[in-house]
Amino acid sequence: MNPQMDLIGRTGLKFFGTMTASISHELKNVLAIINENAGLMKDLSLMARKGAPLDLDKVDKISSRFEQQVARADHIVKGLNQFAHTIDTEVKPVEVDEALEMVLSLAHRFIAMQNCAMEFKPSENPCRVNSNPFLLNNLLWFCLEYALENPGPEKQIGINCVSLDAKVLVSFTGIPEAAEKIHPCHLFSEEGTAVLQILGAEIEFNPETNSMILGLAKNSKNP
Amino acid sequence: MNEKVLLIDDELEFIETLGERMKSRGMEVSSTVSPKEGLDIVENESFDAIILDLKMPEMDGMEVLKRLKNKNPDIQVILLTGNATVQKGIEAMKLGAMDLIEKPVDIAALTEKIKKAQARKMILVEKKTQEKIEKIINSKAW
Repeated sequence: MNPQMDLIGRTGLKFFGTMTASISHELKNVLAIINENAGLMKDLSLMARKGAPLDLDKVDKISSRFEQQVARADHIVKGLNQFAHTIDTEVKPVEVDEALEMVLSLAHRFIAMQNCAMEFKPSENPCRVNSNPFLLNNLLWFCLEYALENPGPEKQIGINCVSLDAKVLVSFTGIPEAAEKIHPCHLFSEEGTAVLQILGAEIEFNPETNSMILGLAKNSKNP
Repeated sequence: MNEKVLLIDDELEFIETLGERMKSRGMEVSSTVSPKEGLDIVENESFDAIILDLKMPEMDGMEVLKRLKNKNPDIQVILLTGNATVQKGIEAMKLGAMDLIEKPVDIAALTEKIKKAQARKMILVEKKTQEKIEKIINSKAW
């Protein structure tokens, strides 16, 4: 087996594990809220059977909470489903904005735990690349992870996309540490670097804007 | 005696609903979505049990547990987690948690644990009082 492909495979599994762990945590929280509200309905019913007046406003409020949590869970599961289907095709046109939104949504709980404000500005023009959807998400995740681990003192990360002739540039601002790195390979682990290379992507730093810029070829030769 | 409980979890709807159910069962309940605020509340008030979520954005539950135990080793903390593994359980016990339970919560089981926490706290308070009395008696040269 090709060692690089082995590494990519293991990296992909790790990424899949991180995302599904984050999603399962979110779903557990939704279930916990639904469980408490179901219990509260039971409590109200028990009290009503013992002769206490039934508070119909409260019953309505509980019903609304069920609806909200079901909508929340539905959104989470839709995201999981979308993510699962990113392995369906090896190479296809991918909207980088949408891929970023997906990764941000999947890793919502993980991002919240880092105590960092993240602002994503969707681009005005389409930012489309022909790429492997799963590996692209994986690469975007490596960039996000790096940004979250190395924020500036304001702890604010900005993300946006720009479409050029042959490339799409994704910039992550608010990372002063990035300016100190000499070589992009110092940025990521062995796994991150392998994904970067297989997608034919590049990383640059802009010390003036304290940002890291990911360059994605619109028509990648790999994988 | 009514049990006095503090709930610390970043999911507001969860602690509001759980808190309401606990109050209807005769408990005195305070709650907060902020672990830092929770630590401040514990500075000023005494509780029979603290129900603490493990994963919170502002501060990790294990860190909150460490700080609570540093301030007051007798404090009774019940941890809540979405995924209760043996490893987490061991780590929690090593840090001095009374128990670790998985969400969604079974309120009957939680209520039992809170009663145990209150009983444990009372025993510890009695023991400390006893020790103080013995110290006073021994220090008097009668």
